[in-house]
Amino acid sequence: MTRLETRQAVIGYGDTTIVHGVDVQIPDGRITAIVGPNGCGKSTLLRALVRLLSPSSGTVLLDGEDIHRIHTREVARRVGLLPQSPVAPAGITVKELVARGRTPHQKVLRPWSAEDEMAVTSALHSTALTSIQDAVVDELSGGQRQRAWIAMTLAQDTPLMILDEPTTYLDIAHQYDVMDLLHHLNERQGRTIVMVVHDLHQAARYAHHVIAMRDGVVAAAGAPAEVFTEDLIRDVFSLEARVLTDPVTGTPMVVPAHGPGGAR
Amino acid sequence: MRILRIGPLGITTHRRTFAVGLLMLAALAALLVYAMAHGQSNLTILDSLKGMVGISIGSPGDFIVGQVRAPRALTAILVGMMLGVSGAILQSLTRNPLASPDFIGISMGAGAGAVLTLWLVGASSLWVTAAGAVAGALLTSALILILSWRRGIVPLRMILAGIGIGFVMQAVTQYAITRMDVHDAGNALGWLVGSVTGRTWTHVEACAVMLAVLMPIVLWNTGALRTMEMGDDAARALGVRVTAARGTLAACSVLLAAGAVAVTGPIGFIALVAPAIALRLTRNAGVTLIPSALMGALLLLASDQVAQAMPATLQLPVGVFTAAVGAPYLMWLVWRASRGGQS
Repeated sequence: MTRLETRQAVIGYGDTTIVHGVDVQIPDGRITAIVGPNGCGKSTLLRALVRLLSPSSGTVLLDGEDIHRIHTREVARRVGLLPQSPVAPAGITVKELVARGRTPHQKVLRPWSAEDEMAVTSALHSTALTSIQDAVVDELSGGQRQRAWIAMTLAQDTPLMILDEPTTYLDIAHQYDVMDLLHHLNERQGRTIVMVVHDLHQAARYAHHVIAMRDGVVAAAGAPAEVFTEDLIRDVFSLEARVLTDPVTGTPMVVPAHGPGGAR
Repeated sequence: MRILRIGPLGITTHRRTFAVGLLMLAALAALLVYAMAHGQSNLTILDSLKGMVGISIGSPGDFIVGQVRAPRALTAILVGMMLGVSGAILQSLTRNPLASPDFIGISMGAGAGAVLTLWLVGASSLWVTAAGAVAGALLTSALILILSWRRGIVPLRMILAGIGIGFVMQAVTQYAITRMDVHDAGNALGWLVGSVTGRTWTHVEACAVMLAVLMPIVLWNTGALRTMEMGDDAARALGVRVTAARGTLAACSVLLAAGAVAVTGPIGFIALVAPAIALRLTRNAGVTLIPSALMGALLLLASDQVAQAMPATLQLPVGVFTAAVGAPYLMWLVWRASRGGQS
């Protein structure tokens, strides 16, 4: 089943076409990773999935309906986005930031409801931020800050969550923290997660479904074990690589075939 | 958090913001009573209170309060509100504490529009001058937009373009003044300093109408404004129609600034300083429109009282006074920015 899909979507900025007619299905209740080299159109595709960009031809369908025909606010109740570089207003506290995730559920002159409060409390709890909810976001570590933004997206309470490079700029421990958190949210709360990631190892470990893009088209899509093959890595990333088995999780592990010692 | 309810409707505000708002209202009321009692001749507080609620206190008290001081003080309050809100919107939209209509050329545009109208049409009525000011401000804003547009509004380009256009508009103003006859030029120069002296109930009504029309639109879009401070993508993802909201808010900001300039002439720094002080007092993250409005009103009314209290040889129009107070603040802001600090 899929609630979010594209049909022959051509997407770009102005006259520049970046994504050339792709058909993508996002499986419900799963984690989908979009991978590909820089400039392959993965972020562009992601932006179209949340309606930040409109396809110049083809469509993006949300629950079978053209996403551009759905009211902005209604889209925001079904699909949440964590953009690549959001700006935290100076001096905002964690809880206030998370509370802003409730925006699409609120109306002018309707006060903060018990439901809003509950969503914020549970988002803080799921991201283990309850104890620092009154801390100022600017003063948090990179990992905590990213968790606060994820909590904001959680408070939006959408069945679909879309994240643009959620682990970029984090150190390795915090990267895996964020990935574990996303895994947890998918497993326990059944949220559908779509993320653009650079790290193939993370994609292979955490995603159920991988979409590999190259030059604005989908080169392969499927389970990590089907997508991450030596041929595909060569094809998509122009990288000679060996695909081994991750000793911890049993998922594919991509290792470049050349290094300081030369090819072996 | 505190929720104010009226039937099923209500607004959510922070306790501190609410308390600071009440304090500012109280200060404003006290200052208003003071303003009624003091001036070239002093009245008792009791008399000024009576005069304010319409109880006759005889001649010339009735005239002084009813026709001189009340319209002057109310003009200061309403124009202060317009400037405070206008500056708060611009600073939030551009995410830059330096953005205010008197810096990015909008006030200069309004001034040029008004002076050109005085020159070409003559000083026929307040409404004609006001129309000129509004036209000048809108034209300037359009120019700023055209110059800074690059697939959307780029805040820093907008500020730089605005500063440049501001100088052009000042040149236009000065050119018009040199071409006017001496009497009109004197009037225009006096008006260009910015003052609430001699303002009448007509001015008060003009301000009240503008605020009554624009404030509901602005307040309706407050949520969008706050959300847009997190970046366009984040705001869109939260269901805000960014382009429409930004256009509406920017237009309201420009119209409020233009209206203020039309009524009092360009009074500098209020729009720059009031939102910043309001932010500091309420410790809010993000824009606070009502406190900015109240702070603008307080600042302008207080400045006018100080200007009036100066000895007669030093009597200054309020615009000169706000500039004297505001300029050090601006320097401090620039100094902080140059040290890499955030405001």
